[in-house]
Amino acid sequence: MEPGSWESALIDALFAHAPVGLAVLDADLKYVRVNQILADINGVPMDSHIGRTPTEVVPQFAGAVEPVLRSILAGGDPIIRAEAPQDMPDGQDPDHFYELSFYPIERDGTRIGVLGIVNDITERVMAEEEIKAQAATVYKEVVQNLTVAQMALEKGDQSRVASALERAFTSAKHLVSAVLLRRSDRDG
Amino acid sequence: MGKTVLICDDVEEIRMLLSMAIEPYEDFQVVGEAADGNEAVAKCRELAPDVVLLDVNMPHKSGLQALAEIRDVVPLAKVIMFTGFESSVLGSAASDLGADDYIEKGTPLDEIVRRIRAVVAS
Repeated sequence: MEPGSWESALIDALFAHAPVGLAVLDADLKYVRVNQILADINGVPMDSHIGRTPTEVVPQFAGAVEPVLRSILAGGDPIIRAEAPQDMPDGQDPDHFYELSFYPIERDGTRIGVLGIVNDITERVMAEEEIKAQAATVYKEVVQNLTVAQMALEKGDQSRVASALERAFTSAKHLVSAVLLRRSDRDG
Repeated sequence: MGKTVLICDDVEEIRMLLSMAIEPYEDFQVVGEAADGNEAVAKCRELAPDVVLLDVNMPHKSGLQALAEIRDVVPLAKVIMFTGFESSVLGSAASDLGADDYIEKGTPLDEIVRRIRAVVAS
């Protein structure tokens, strides 16, 4: 296979199978190519992106993004895994969370476009929120039981001290287990 | 008769131990207990206590939510927030809502009594 066609096939495969939203924009900030995942995120068919700017395709979203794209075209640093603003385009689930990365595309030292990568991080954000809620509940239990233990200790009620400390220890153990299991799920 | 105190905390053991810590002092009289924010407001309306010891983190209605209503129901009562949060985090919110003091859980019982007495005297 010729090098050119091999590269073209590789890019086709990437756009067809990458599990993230992909977009290539030219120096006029017009979409040159997007994949189906990005089209789904934007709520606009793939073909309707081509030759149009983000402002034309997703006006609400573009206000925050286009200045960043222009900065990258002008020589600015790439944006790596920035959390997207929550005022997403019309027709989108407002409970979704996205992470955005933008990299310059260069030819002969000149920036000729921008590659955008959009990752749906909803599951991760929700898992983190769940951990936070769980941690807050268990933290409350630990504080309550330590408070009982401290007060009972001052009152010389040894059996109440022991039972409250046991409950505090059990709660703390549950919290640590939950965090470690969640981390192992995420990493594994 | 001493100053009347209402103890509000969702943990029965904490209510009991606070009550045991306060009752020996003749200048205080524990007149009631509440296990959540709604009950705290209702007991304030019923008992008109001089002092309300109010846990921040309670079910149904938090201590901070109840505080605003308690201020309307018994405007002259001294309200002391009882909290497991860092006081620096809670302090400004509680002060804005009209709390007279806030005490972190883990504070020795005799110190709690001393703080209640200082608030009453202020």
